[in-house]
Amino acid sequence: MASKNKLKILFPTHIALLLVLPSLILYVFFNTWPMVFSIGVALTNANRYNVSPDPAKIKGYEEAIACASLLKEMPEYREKASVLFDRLKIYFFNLSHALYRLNELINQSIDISKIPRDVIDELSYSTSQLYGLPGEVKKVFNCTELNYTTKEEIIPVVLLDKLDSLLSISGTIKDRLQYAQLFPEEVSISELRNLTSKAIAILSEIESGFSKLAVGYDEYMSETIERFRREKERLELRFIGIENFAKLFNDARFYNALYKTLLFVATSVPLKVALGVSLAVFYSSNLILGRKAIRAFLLVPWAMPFLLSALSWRIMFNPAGGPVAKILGLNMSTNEWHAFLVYNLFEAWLAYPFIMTVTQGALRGVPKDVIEASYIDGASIFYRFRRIILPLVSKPLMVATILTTGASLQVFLIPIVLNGAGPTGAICIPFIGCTSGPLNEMLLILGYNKVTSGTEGGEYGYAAAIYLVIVLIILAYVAVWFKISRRSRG
Amino acid sequence: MSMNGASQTILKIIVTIIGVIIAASLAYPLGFIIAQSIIGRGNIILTSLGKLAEYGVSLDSYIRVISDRVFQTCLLNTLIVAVITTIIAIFIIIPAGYAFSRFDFLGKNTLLYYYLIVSQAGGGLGIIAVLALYIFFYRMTAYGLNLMQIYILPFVYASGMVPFQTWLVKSYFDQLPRSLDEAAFIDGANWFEIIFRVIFPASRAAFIIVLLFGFMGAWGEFFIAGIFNLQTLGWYLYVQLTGQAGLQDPSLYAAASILYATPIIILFIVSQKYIGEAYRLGLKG
Repeated sequence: MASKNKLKILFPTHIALLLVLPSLILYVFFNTWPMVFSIGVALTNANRYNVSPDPAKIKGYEEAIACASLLKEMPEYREKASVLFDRLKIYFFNLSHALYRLNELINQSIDISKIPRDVIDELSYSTSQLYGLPGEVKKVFNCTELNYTTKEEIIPVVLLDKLDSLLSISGTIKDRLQYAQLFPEEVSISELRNLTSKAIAILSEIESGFSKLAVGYDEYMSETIERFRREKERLELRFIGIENFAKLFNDARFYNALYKTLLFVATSVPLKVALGVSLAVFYSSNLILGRKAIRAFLLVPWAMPFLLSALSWRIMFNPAGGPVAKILGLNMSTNEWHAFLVYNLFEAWLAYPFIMTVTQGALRGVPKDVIEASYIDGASIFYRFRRIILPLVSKPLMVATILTTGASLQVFLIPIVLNGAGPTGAICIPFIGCTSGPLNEMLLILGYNKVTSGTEGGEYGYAAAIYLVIVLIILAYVAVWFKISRRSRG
Repeated sequence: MSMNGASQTILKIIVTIIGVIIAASLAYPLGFIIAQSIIGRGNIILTSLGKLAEYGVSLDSYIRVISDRVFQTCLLNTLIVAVITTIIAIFIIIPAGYAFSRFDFLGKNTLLYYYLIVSQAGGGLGIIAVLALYIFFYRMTAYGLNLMQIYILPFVYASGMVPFQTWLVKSYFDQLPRSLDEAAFIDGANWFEIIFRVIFPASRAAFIIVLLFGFMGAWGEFFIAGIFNLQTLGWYLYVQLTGQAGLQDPSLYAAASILYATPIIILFIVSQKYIGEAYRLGLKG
């Protein structure tokens, strides 16, 4: 009781909080909070487009929808549009008449300077009729004039662009023809021919575009409204409940990732534990001279930063000329199981120093002559190993094995760095279906790919659902680990 | 023992030779990458030692790396990030570890338990936290706040180090007798005095551990920087060597990676005894 009071007085709580709080704030903000945030994200359709949209853009779509509905419904505007379309029809007819006449003359290969004046006049007149048109079209379908602020165009932008280019081409033809009246030698007939046929082609496209618009006005407007609505929806973050989780449990890639991850645990854990223990046992032998130095040297995988090791392994196992790939006949980029084998080897190589160090520590408790005897008396090495060494190292080795199992369960960088978890191929799961993806995709890599990778990237809601499930798997692992360690302690 | 001295010696020599061969083959990846970096022709993969004799040995790749502008920029970025990470870790984690060891406050044990699970459960939770953080930062850009900047990295790194290193520092202070620092509190010292007059002087070994781990962690990290698309040396090298450039000029990137790795390897060797200590403390917890 007295000591408890003394503790309270000497080490008051408010100072403790002062000391702990900075680290806690840092940790909560950068680690705990994002996890909590992602529980929310998992219940939405979050993706690259709607997580951080431009509010002005959404507003723009809303206004455009309202504007298009008005244009569709109000008789006044429909009337205006139909008048415009009728006029367009006449203008287009005039221009096409002029162009066809010119085309005929050019095809007869008459002398450019002898092209009749009235052909040129007709062309320049019908072109000049069109000059104001893009502006007029925009004015009739102008949302700003109807008091809607939007950058979206109701009229197909392609059509307006084509109209602009038609105007510039027929303007050029007119200029060249006028120039040819003065200097016939400097204008080539083939240039004119190209320009004219180009103008005719564009004009017919525009004509059919506008006539479609005129005939199917209602239909076009409904389509436009629908298009804006879809665009707007793409930018809106929506609550979709457990849809992401439902999708996950119907995704062949998830089952493949689960299968590959568990398989990796099953293969890599025995491999690295066996390697680490045998190295520890072997190098504890008195028969090896300078074993202290060699043991220090064996820690190389530990000392090398991961990136350096990864580069080295990547080149060593490069299917195009890597020396080890050549010797072992492995091709990581085409054979799924070759790649899987290399992951196992790399993981075992990375992890053996840990297992070895733990085992060495435990072996220090074993009398030296016991180990030595087990070597010299060759006949019963295995027996002695099992009966004498293993029981002595089993407890610390158990802890180490559990920890390294966690590492295998959460394998992430190894497949990514070696070959991007590839090769890519068809993934088929019974009762679920087929899809395509990286064949060696582990659980964490699946979540990562959904967040970052190019084509499918940015499915944040789905990715959050995936890694919440992974967190549950990790927690299940932790629970098993606690249970085992409690039993071995008790 | 039935064996005589001579055969014992022969056996020793044979076993030693086997031992050296095994150790050498396990260190092969390091030897390979060094050989690849010094081969006289940069654009080929070293397939045998014969190639090394054929094309000769040169430090050309190293010279090209050092004179590369991008490499220099990334090196500077990484150095700044690693130093700031270390400073944050020291000023935030050591006081917390001290408090966990000496003080008694509400939620202390729960928090310690939580830290233990997070630090021992493996790297998966950290990766998930970073992906979640990325989405959160991305969301923040909707409000005009771009947090994906190079100066955010030290905070992200240091926060990731909190659970494990808090345990380390706590375990370290648990071993020190309380009487050393009790006296300081009797006078009613303030926070500043407690940190600089009591905690830091008493925590030399913890100081070194946090410093080494902080620096090595921040220097070696490349994936978080990559998710935020920030140009640290690690991320630059990763992008280069997993892309086309790495295959076209393996020696250049081998040399670059070795230069990048050198500080970590040196620190690892220097800190061998502290790292052993740290794992002992960590495992005990």
